[in-house]
Amino acid sequence: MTDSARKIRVLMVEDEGLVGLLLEEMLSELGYEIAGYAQCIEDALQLAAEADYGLAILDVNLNGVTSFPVAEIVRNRKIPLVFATGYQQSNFQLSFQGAPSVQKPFSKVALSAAIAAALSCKALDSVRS
Amino acid sequence: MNVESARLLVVDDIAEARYAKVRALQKAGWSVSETSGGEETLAFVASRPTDLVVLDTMLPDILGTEVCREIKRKRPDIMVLQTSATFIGADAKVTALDAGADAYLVEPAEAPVLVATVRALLRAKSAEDQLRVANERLLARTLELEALLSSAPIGLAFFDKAGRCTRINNEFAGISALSAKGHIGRTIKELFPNSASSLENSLGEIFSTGASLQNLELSEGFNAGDQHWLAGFFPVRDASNDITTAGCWAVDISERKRAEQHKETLINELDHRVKNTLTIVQSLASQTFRGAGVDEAKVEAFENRLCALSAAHDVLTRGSWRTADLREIVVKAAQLHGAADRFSIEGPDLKLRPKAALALAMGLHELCTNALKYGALSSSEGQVNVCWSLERENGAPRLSLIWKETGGPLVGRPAHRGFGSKLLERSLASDLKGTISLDFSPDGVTCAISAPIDFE
Repeated sequence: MTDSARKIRVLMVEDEGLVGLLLEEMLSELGYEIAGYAQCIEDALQLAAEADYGLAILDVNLNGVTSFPVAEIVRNRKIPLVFATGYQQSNFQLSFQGAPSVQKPFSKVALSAAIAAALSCKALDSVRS
Repeated sequence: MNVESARLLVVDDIAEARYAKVRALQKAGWSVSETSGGEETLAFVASRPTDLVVLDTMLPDILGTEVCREIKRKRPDIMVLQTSATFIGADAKVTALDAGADAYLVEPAEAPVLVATVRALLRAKSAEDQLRVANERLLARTLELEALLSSAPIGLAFFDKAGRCTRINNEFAGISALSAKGHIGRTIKELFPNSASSLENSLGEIFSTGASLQNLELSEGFNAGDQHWLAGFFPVRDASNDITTAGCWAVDISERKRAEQHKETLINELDHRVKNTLTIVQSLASQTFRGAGVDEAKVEAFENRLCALSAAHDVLTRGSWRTADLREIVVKAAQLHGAADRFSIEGPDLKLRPKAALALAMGLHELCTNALKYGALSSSEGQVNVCWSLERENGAPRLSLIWKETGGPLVGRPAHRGFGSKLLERSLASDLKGTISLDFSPDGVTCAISAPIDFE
C-alpha cells in the first residue's frame, strides 16, 4: 500500500450488491477511495463519462448487458481499468482481450495484482506518448 | 454362347444341297435344324433359339437376301452366312453383304470350308456376345453409381489434376449458389474460395502420394449462415493404376457445429453464474466473519480455498466438463499462489475426470498454502518439483504424482493436524480412490499420490 495508491479514486461497476460490498471492502483495505458505484449500465455509462476517478473496475455482465461500452468510455478517457468477471477472457469483446482482469471469485492479492497491472499499462502508455 | 454349342439353321429349297450342308455341320458337332422357304425361315428364327443361319439365296417364295435383311432387322445378333451357286455374279455378293449378311460363300463349297467359315463366324459372334454382356453389366454398374451419386445424403465430387471439377452431385453443389452443371470445369478456387488453399493442398497430395485424406473441416458462407463441412479425398485410378481423378466426399456438419457453439455458450453462461455465486459466498463469509472475532487468517484461508475451487472450474470448463488437463491443474495452482516461477513441473499429457481433477486441484492448493507458510516457498531459495508418470498395475493405468519441496527451511512434523492435511489425506484419497503419503522429512515435504486413472 503506497501513498500514491491512497489517492487513487475508483469507479466500481458491479450489478451484484453483495459482490459490490466485497469489492468495496477489499478496495478500502488496499487503500483506495471509492469515486462512484454503478449497478446498472445506464448509471455506469454516465459515471464513466462524468465522474472524477483514476481507475475503473468493471463487471462484464450487468443484468445480461455487457459493460464494454462503459469500458470504451473509460479507455477513451485514458483511465486504467480492470475487469472483474466470471467470464474467461476468450469471451471478451476482441478489443479488450488481454486487458487486466481478475477472475471471480478473487483474493485481495489477485485484485491488487490486477490493479497494479492496469496502472503499469497506464504508466507505459504515458511513456510511449 | 459357346462356339461348340451353337444352334444352326440351314435354309435351302433343294433337298440334296440342304442335306449335304446339314450333314457336314452335324458331323462337326453342331445341332442343326433345316427349312426350305423364306416364310418358314422367318417363322423359325422368330420362335426357336438360333445363333447362325446358312441361308441360300434362291428361295421359291422370298429372295434369300430379303430374308437376311428381315432376320437382321429383328435379330441383329443372329449370324447370317449367305450362300449361292457359282453362276451368280459379284454384284449379288455385294447385295447380300449389304443386306446384312456376315459372310458369303459360293456353292458348291467343300464341307471343311463350310465348317471353317461357320466356326469363324461363331467365334466372332461369341466375342460380340461377351462384349455385349460386359457392356450391359457396365451400364448397370454405371446406373447404380449414378443413382448413388444423385441420392446419397453426402456431397460427392471429382476433380482433375488442374483442380477443375469434372463431376459433382446436387448435395455437394448445394454448398454454392451454382447448379451442379455450373460447377463442371470450374476450379476449386472459384468454387470454394474460403477453403481453396486447404482443398488445393489436399488435391496435390492425392495426386502425388495416392493416399486418402480423411476428415478435413471446411467452412463456406455462400448461403444464409456459415456452412461447415467434413470432407475427405480419395484417389481414382485407371486400369494402368495411374491416378486420373481425385474424388471428394463432404458431409454437412453445420447443425453439429451450431449445437456445439450453443453448448459452449451454455457452459460459459453456467460457468459465469457459478463464479458469481462463489463470489457471493465469498462476500457472505467476509461479511459474516470479519470483525466477528474470527481470525483474519482463517477468513483468508477460506477465500483462497474458494478461489482454488473456482480456478479448477476454469480448467474443467475449458475441457467442457468432460476432462481436465493435469498440467493445467498444476500450473493453475502454482499461479494462484503467485509462485509459478518456483515450480518445476514435468510429466506426460494426461486428462483427468472432473471429480479427480477437482480433488487434485484442492489438494495441490493445500500443499501450496502449506509450502508458502512453512515449507519451501516460505524462503526465497525453496523450490517445488511436481512430477508425474503413468504406471500400470495389473494392466490398469495409475497416475503416480510426486510433490517434492527442496531448499526450504528445516521441516518439522506439524503438532496439529489442520483441515489442510485432513483434506489432503482423506478427501483427496477418497475422491481419487487412491493412496496418498505425506512425508515431513527435514529437507522438505514430499507428498506421493497414486491413483487409478480412467480414460474416456
